[in-house]
Amino acid sequence: MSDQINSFDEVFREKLSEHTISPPDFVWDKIESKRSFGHVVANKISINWRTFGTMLLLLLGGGSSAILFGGEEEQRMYFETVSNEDIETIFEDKAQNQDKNNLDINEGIAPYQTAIFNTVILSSKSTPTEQVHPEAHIPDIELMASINQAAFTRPEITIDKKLNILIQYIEGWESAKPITFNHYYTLNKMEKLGLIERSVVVSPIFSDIEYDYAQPVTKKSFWDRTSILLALTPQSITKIMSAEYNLSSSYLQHRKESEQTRMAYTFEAILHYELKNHKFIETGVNFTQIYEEMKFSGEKRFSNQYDFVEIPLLLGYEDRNSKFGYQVKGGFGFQIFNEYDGYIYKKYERKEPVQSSVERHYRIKGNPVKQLITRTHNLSQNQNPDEVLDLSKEEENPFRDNGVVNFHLAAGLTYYYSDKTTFVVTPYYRRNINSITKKSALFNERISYMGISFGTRINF
Amino acid sequence: MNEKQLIQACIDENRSAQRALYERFSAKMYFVCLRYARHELEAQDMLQDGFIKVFDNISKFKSNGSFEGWVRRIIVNTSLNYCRKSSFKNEQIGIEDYQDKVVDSKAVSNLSEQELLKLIQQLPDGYRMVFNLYVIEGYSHKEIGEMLNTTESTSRSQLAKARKWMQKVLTEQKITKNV
Repeated sequence: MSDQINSFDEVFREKLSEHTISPPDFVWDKIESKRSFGHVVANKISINWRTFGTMLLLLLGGGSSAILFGGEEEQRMYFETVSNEDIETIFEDKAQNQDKNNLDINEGIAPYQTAIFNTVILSSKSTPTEQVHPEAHIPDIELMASINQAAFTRPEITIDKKLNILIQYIEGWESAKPITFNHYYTLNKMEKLGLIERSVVVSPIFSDIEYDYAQPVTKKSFWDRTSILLALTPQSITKIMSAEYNLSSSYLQHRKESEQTRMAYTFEAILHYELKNHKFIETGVNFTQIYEEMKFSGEKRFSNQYDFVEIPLLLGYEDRNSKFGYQVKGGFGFQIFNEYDGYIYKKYERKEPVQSSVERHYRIKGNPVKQLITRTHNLSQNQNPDEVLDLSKEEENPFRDNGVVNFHLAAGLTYYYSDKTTFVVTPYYRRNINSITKKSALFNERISYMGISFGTRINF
Repeated sequence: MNEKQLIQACIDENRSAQRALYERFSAKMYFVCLRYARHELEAQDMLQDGFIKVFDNISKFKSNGSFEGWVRRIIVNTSLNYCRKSSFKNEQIGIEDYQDKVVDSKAVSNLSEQELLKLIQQLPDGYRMVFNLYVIEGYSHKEIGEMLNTTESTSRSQLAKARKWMQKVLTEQKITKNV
């Protein structure tokens, strides 16, 4: 009978193993269209993720540095041009405006807009022209004192140190926004350099502005711009697994069924640095922990713990009114340290579960908090060590211990509690760009995180 | 262009080289897909996905083994995954009545390649995978167990049931004999 079976198999083997049938032509057309330019580029990136990741980080780092240092230099230049004399001249000019009623603004005030740009202009019911003599060359000390007083007794017009914007709105004085002068100054500078023609430059409408009060602004130091963000992000995770060409996907299906995340969170200690125009950069350390429950040999057991340490580099935009604001940020992070404890299924055959009268071990038993923070991830007596990979052993662990690049994206709300403290609530999305598995592993695995970050930002 | 040059040109995303490589292996691989698929359309999808994987991963091919074997393995794995995704079931068919009957291999050898293929395509998914892997591809039951994430003994019993299932079909076509 065995011979008959062998010859039966032999017939199939002989006739079918080398037989060929040409596929229809459209199959190649489909292959060609599916392997489009985008597909090929994405494939190249996934193969050479190291090179692309490094280039992207360098680009991001370089861009941030350029904004950071370039911005400071520009600002310094503005401040160097501000002097008491400039401020005084504004008032003098205002007085002349009052007298003449019809001054050629383009010719008369253009040289002073630098001073105006760096000056907080506040409204008041009083008329400064009554206090300033048209021919005065020394700033009026009383006037300056009243300016200071006015500036700090107007709660609805706050000086926003954090966002580098002095006044957002001045009632009835749209043209007095600092940004107007900023643009005019830039245009004027370009005109001087011969980059644009004079006719293009449109000056602010100075005749509509009453320079009631003014206060020079001091430059923000590095520490004024820097704050530290401490945040905790509880999150749900999704594992995206795919088999290499030489692994059947049933293994992954099996893993998917056997692993269940019980808890995942990220703790962040981040340095936040303000740039110009509401932009900011953030970098620091993220510590992520994932606890998952694994079920095999018919038992549930709380056995896996993943720890990741990551250095993020994020670029963002933030704006706010007096108290509430919003922020959007995105960027990349490098996982520099990964540690794994626990077990995952082996690719190999699964033995039938051992039937035992021993009580099954479940995770939530006794003190759940103690169970959550335990670092022991041992197998029970009923569980067979041959059917799992021990993640704490380097030779068995299929995951990388570093070198994973993450993409970050977050958008949320801020609450400006005080000059020193801001609360931040941010829905946060993070995802591995490259696989967390080693090159030798038979499968790829990426983790995506979705959570809400609760943080406090403290100014130095 | 020899095989090594062809592979290198494919790594460089040279379309004409990819076409040449496809022309070289597609007929053989299409027949592999046909053996795992239930019908031609399914086999065409398997072939398409398999070759996309080949081109995507060709840079990972290590030239110490047979390239055709490497391509074949990808095609087989793609076909297995495809079967499993669509409708993998461990079907239990009423085959117990045919345990004492054995198919005459001479009668089977009279069947053409197309008829044998049709016979395989009619097998339930689980049987078809094990039969193909063991009888035609030459994998051992242990290897099949690993590939399908099942046990060695399950693979054996699936193969036995596949043979019996074929025997039942062939009996209905009057080509079996009693022993």
